[in-house]
Amino acid sequence: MEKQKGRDLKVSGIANASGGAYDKAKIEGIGKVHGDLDCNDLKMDGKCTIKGNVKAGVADIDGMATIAGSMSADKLTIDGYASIGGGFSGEELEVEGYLSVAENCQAETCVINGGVTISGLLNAGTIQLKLYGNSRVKEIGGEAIQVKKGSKRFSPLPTFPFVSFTSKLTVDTIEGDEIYLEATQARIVRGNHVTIGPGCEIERVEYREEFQQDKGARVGSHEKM
Amino acid sequence: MEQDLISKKELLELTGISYGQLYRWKRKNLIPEDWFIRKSTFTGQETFFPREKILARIDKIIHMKDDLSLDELADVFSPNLAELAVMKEELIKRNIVSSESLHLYTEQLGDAKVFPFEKILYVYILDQLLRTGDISLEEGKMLLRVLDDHYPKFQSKNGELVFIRKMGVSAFFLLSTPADIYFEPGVKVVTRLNLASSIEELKIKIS
Repeated sequence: MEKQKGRDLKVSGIANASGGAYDKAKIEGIGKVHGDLDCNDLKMDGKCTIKGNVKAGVADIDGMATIAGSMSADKLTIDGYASIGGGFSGEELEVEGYLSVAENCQAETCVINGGVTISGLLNAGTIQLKLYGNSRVKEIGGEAIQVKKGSKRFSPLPTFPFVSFTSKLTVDTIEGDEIYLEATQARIVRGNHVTIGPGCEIERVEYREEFQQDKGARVGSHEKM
Repeated sequence: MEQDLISKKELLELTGISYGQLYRWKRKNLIPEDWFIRKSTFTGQETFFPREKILARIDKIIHMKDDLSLDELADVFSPNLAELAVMKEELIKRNIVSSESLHLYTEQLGDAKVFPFEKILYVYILDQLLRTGDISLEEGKMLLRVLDDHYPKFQSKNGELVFIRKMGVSAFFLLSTPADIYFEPGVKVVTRLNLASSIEELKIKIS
């Protein structure tokens, strides 16, 4: 993906811009992009809204970003909050904070510290989800899936006095080869090696080779396939 | 038309692949999105696949993945037309199409030294239908006209070719799939050809 060299988009302060194809795009402050954005290198700092689809080589979001359409990027790093109105597809996805995707989300590796809401399928080779706050995903599929409850002290989300956050993942189906879960509520979990850790409520587990259950987990029924 | 479906669980048992592999192939677009069919069962929503298509596809992936990378495989299965061309003499020499079909093509749509993939596909489809005896030479001309006029509009969409006869009159249809089509009882559906699988076969033959 070689875009015209030297054609860069730079938005700072409070400004609007139109979409298009760029080499580098940098949006700082409160920026709005009207239309589709296609670039090799995307950096968003502050509060950004893109009213269209985004295609990027490397994308880095700090602060708060809203993308109305779908997004694809080889590598997407989010520090803060991002919401994608369509689907996401890429190679690497790294989130510190919160990500919401309205359709399917797919990547080879997916590392999330914080929370997610994915209304479709989360499909990734490796999924590492460390929960700070509530997460909700319709379906998860992949090779190695690991969900852990994050410790309160290192929470990337702001902590308020007198407000207690529960950290829980709610999901309908999880299917994968190696599955380790904590603090997860699911209807069905299917895999080769399945370990259900503390704080889980699973209606049914179907496994092929190995199944382990923590004392602090509730599993409705389990069956070797 | 009720399709013969296979549940995801049964599929994995039958083929011996794991959930991880299935999701990986889906990510790499080796298995098209519209083959994942959701249905409500007594245990909740489950995923089903069209039985014959998915079994054939998984068999192909398993046998070819030693020679080709997953990305190369994705190109083979993609309904996008490959950007390749073959010399006219080579088409005959490598037995990709018969000389009779090629002759009919050049007679109808003009001669060329080098054939781009799209044109080879037309000849290939013509060749297949002539070989099976489903169509006559005269109908072959009709087929070429349909493909040449309308196939480019399909671009990357998947399509199906339907050939019917009624009272000695024949007609071709090009449909974009998935679609349902129904005929009155007097119509005989002579052949239905999935264009994506023809493209696949041809790509394997050429490469």
